[in-house]
Amino acid sequence: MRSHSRRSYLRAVGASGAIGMSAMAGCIGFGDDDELEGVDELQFIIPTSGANPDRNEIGHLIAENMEEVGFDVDVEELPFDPHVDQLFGDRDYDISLLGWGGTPERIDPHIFLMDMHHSDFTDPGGRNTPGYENPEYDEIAEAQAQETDQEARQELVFEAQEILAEDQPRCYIANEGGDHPWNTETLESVNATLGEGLNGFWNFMDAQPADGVDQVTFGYSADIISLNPMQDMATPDRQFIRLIYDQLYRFDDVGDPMPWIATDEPEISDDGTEFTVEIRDDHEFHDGEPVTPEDVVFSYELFGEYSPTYSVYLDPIEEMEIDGQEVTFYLSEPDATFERNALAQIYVFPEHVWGDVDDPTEYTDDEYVGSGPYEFVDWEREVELQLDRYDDHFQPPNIGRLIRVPGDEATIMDEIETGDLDMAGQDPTVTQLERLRDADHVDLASFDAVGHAKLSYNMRRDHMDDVHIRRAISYCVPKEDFVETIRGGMGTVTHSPISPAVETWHNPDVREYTEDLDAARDELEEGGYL
Amino acid sequence: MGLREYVLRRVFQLVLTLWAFITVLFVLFRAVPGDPTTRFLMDYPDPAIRDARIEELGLDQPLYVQYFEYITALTRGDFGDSTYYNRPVSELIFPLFLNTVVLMFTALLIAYTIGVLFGAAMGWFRGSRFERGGIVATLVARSSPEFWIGIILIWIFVFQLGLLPRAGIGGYGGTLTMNLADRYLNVDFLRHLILPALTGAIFYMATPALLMRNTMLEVLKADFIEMKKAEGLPERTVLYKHAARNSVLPLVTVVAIATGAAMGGSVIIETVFNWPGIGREMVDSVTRNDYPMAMATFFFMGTAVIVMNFVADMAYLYLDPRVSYE
Amino acid sequence: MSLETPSDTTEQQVDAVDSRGIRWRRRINALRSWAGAVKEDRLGQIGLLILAVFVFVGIFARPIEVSIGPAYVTLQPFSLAPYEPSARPADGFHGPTWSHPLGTTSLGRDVLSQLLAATRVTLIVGSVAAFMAVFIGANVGIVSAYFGGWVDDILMRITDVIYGIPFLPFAIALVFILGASLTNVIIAIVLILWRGTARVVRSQVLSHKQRPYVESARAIGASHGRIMYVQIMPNVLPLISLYAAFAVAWAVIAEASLSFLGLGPPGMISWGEMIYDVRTEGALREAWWWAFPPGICIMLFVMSVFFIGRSLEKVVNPELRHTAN
Repeated sequence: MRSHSRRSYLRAVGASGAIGMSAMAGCIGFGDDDELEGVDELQFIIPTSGANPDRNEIGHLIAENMEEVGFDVDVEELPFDPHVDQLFGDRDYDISLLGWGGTPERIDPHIFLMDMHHSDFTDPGGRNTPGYENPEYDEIAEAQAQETDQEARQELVFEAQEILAEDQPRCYIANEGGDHPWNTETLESVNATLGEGLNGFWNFMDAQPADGVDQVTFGYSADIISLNPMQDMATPDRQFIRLIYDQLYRFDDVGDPMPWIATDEPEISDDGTEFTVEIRDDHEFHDGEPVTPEDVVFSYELFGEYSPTYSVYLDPIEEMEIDGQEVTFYLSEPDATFERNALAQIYVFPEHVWGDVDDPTEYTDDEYVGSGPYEFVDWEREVELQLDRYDDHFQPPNIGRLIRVPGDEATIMDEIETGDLDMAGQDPTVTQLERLRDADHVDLASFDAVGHAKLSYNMRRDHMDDVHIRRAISYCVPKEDFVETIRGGMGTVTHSPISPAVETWHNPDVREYTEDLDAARDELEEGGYL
Repeated sequence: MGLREYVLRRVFQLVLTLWAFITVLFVLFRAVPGDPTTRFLMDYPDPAIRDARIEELGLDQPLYVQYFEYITALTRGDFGDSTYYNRPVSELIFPLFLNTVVLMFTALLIAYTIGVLFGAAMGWFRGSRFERGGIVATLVARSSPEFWIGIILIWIFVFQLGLLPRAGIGGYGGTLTMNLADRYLNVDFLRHLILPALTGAIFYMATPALLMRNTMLEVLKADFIEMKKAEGLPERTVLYKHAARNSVLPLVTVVAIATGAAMGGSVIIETVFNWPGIGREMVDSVTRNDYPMAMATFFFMGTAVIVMNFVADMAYLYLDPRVSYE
Repeated sequence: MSLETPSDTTEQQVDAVDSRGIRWRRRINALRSWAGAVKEDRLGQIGLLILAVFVFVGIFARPIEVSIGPAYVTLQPFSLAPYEPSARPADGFHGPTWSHPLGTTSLGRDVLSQLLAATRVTLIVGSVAAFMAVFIGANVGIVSAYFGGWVDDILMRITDVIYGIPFLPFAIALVFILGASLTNVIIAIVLILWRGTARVVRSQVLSHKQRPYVESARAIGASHGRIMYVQIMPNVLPLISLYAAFAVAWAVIAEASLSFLGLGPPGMISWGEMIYDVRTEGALREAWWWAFPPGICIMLFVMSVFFIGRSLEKVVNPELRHTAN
């Protein structure tokens, strides 16, 4: 999947044109000669327009600006999978343009500060893809993870963001918040949540159908891969699995865990190694069997042993003990993230269904018996998934029957316009946005993103380890243009890994990189390249 | 060479072609530079998980072992597990295959019914303005890629007139049943079928129309028509009886071949109309590096072509005793 | 395949004697009869006219430059396209105006400029792919028929296998695997498209092989290559050119379909890709000025080739059918 910056593209077309047609005499010109001293052509990988048209577009704009200030850029367009492979595996690139999704568990700054920038995570597969290593930073990232006092932690989180802005291992471009469309004739209200919009758990709980409407259709551009929580899952899978299965705690709409199957906050011992949780005594699975503390212990054991996603979070558990309706988790060491990572994410499984299964990663319960607010009805891949409200839930949703429909983005939006779909968990394009704003039967639910579009600089490569080069490139990024023109005003420009929407943790006073080619040239001069 | 020997030889060729085709498939998809475990990287920082997955999929084996295992599995009708869905391919592909068959069968049925009638009419009214216009119309239809026909139909019938549904195979929230009658014989499904089937029909109509016109011209030229006319038979009877009879042979072979090719041609139509069939699944699985799925969709489409080509040959043999077995 | 078994060719009343003069006369006659057929055939004329317009646009839509090291040579400096196709002269999305006769795309690009520039991609894919496919197909056909025996067996079994491969799905898979580029799109098309020519040429050559002129050439000790390419080839050339015309049509449709799926060569706008852009942007409903022109261009281009093919067909063999690609 090779492509070229515009200038070399012109040459490529010319060359291939000459193959197809007879040559004619002409004049001779010369290529640009303002290349930077000692800097070779940079490999810049961006998504194909099919994978992400917005990011593809800004990728080309960045490359143009870089050529303008003297860089020699080779733009390569990659589909999603090969791109991820390059980023985490082969690493044969200098600059990569990709994004990072934001789900509720990422509203807490930990993953962004720790996994993505700490020097422990630079190996292949690690999330520190730039290979950023700064001992001073590492200390701060570690300290914030152990700090239980919010104000003190905030200070550390702010400081971490300042360092990242100075060092620019990545250039954060924008939080791609957006507008998810919904039908005002079939729905009275929706609840677009931070980071997820209409995909959020609370939307499916709170969305209010109009009078007489029992069935609500929801469109999304990708089908669910698996509804089995024991198998590997993509984000869209989790967004529906959590409707069918319950957890002890759920993330509320600002990303904090709240009691769910648990009756109250966990009791934590003074040394931070014992977590005691009381379980509701009146809750039942969809098949009528009660949800018991035994089911909870069974589930934690099951996930601890088999789940590729969650077993790592359950490693600290040494023992679990049942006392009446209470379950106590004994940890081998204090873990400030235990509530967030384990108690709020592990699904409670019915032991009477999963207890005798030999290999839970291969087994699928075709009835999907959980205890969540929706129960499974039927599913045909690529066609639709049907869920019904679980009337006996302690917090039943407003929607009677929820239908999830997969399809490509263009089709989903068409069906929103024709009224065949009631809501969609994806952003319209700029053109569709204008049209939907005018449509009588459609409203748009705006939300802020937690994730972002970003450039990652591969600091293992020549010149990319020089902060002046990185900063110069960051000054070539038309962030404003990205949000205003390319995305039609959806989203917010950012300079930090923590979204401005996460007010507690976002540092608004870090060094900013807005499109400024003179500033880019200054950086290059300082680095001795001009 | 005797008939029996010819047929045997042709069957042997069929098997050989199938084997070669399967081998091509293997080479094509195992040459993919990416690997199906890529998407684990985003979510699972631990490389050990990925390695375990690669081992589980048998991708760490030497290629010839993989090849041998692939062939032996295929002979048992086992397509392996989809690396994307983590389910057996055979279970996933069946409903998709059925959807494609229903769509393309309908499209071809319309194409050949209308095409034959239209072509016969063109031949009958030879030299008229109708014939000239008909030929141009036929060529215009054939010059339009399927996606373009589909887009025009959507634009007219969905966006402008709002008459027909935009995508999918049925209204949402119905019964998802594998009972074929319930599944395919309901008004809602038929409404969803109209546009994609029409798209295919327009695209495939040109062949039978032109073929039928040519046959008709030949038949009308032939002396015996004149003789029959002289015998006092009504013109229409002559036309139907003789022209139709003479065109059966080429039509049957063309139908067989077109049916095979249509399975592969469904890719675009299914994409345009979000039709859950093997064509669209093929594109998706290729982009996901899901080899077992991609190979299975390909296998179905390719086998359809190969088998229908064989059927065409056999039909030709059966219908035309004059054919020589070379 | 039985469909493509040839009916006997009628036109070549070939002399047994090999003489240069007669060969040339034969060629000129063939050309003349084609010209004659076109003169009578209104559709053929229209086809030629449309094609000529496209070729003109293809050459002059954008300057042609070739890079040689650091320098580049401008072979063709004119630009019919008012703007660079990837430039953004307008603010955003709007319908036709005086400065943008076909309106602009959602990112403010001039649709007319894209449409004109895309012509070249179509011409390149159409001509190069068709030429290569027919070149391979014709050679396989001639060699196969001429030598017969195991050579024929092997080549025809390979052709059979290729016939079993669904065209578009194969092209999609191959382009995805090799990466989307102009070269790979052409390769994917050529790898399948040669099969039709190979079969038809083979069966034609089979009948020529028995003719007296070939036997007498053999008798005077002409080499295999000479007999194949000097004696036989000119007689099947009209047929080959007919298949070349159809190959152009199929190649262009295939390229458009690939681009429509987003697998077109990146950085080079083509008609199929323009429609892909309209669709992914969700602008189909309103932006007729953006969606319809590229579709109409594809249709006109393929149609012109079919029209020309039809008049060629009348010369080559009025009964020849071209159903399978």
